[in-house]
Amino acid sequence: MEPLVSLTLRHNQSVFLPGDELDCEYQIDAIGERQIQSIENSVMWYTVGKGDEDLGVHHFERRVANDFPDMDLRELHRFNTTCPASPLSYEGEIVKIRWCIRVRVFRKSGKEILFELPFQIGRVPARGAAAATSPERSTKNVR
Amino acid sequence: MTTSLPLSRDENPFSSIFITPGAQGFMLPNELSWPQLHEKFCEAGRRGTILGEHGVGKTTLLATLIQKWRYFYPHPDAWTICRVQDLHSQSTMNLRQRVAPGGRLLTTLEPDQSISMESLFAQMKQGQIVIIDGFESWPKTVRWRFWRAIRRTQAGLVLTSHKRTPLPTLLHLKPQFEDFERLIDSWQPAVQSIERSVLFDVWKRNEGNPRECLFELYHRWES
Repeated sequence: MEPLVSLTLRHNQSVFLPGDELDCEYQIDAIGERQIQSIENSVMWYTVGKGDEDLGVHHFERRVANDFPDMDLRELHRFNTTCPASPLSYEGEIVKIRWCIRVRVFRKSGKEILFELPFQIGRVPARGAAAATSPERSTKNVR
Repeated sequence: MTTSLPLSRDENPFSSIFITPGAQGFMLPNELSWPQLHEKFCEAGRRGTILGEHGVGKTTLLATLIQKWRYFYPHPDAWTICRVQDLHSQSTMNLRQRVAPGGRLLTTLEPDQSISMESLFAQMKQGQIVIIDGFESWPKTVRWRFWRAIRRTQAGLVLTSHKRTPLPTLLHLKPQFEDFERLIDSWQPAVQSIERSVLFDVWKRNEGNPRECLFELYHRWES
């Protein structure tokens, strides 16, 4: 059974402006306390589209089980960072800039589990947001 | 092993990250398996060429071949993978793990660092498998130097090329529409809903070039 990760942005906010505080928390369940070797959480952007991809890491944190007396990384962990001035989220045809919070759980067995929570910086209409409100976009077809 | 979130319906499945060599496994013709291709390679004296035009999937085939043939050549140093960049430069290539949108982990084959011909020759030893992607891009003089050097070694050799080479042809890639359909059917669920008539039109318009077809499908998905 795969572990469960509850990853949330506090206040369930998904759109931020440069300078806003981004508060995030996550908790791991359905896994034994000694089974996690380390956890990495990052706040990052990446490009996706037709050309070469790029990415940048704005905030990074690594927690290693051996650094904790009880070696238990499952408990609720909070972190926060300030949203930068750039790059802003962007949804173009050729290139898109996406922001996300990424949590990577490295198990002692060697397996890696990865979770992502997308969010937006700037008031750029996100394609994902449009899909949630527009029924025609949720049944996309290539014609 | 990873778990990942499903790809959002709105994520373009034809973005570079999903079509870059390695992101989708290469599908051999139905009558051929990876061990059979390896057998053919051994019968040919562990040297051969993968032939095919631009965009038919030669590098994608290499990305899959490296992973499938690891069973036969498990030592990490057994492989030298090289891509010819232009007339006088080449770079090593490596399989790299990348995270695609939605948290999906992909293994892709990407250029790493440039390598001189001398360093390349020094790596060609017995037991090695040397792969040269885009062999025909080297000028005649460089190809001649390469043949001279490889003749002195017992290294295995796989070339990809648009034209025939002095080595036996392991596989001549000439994809048909049915192969393209098979590829699409094996893709993400969102892609499988594309109508066959649309796929066929795209295929005809791009004269049966899979890469050009995927580029067109990218734009159609966006529109």
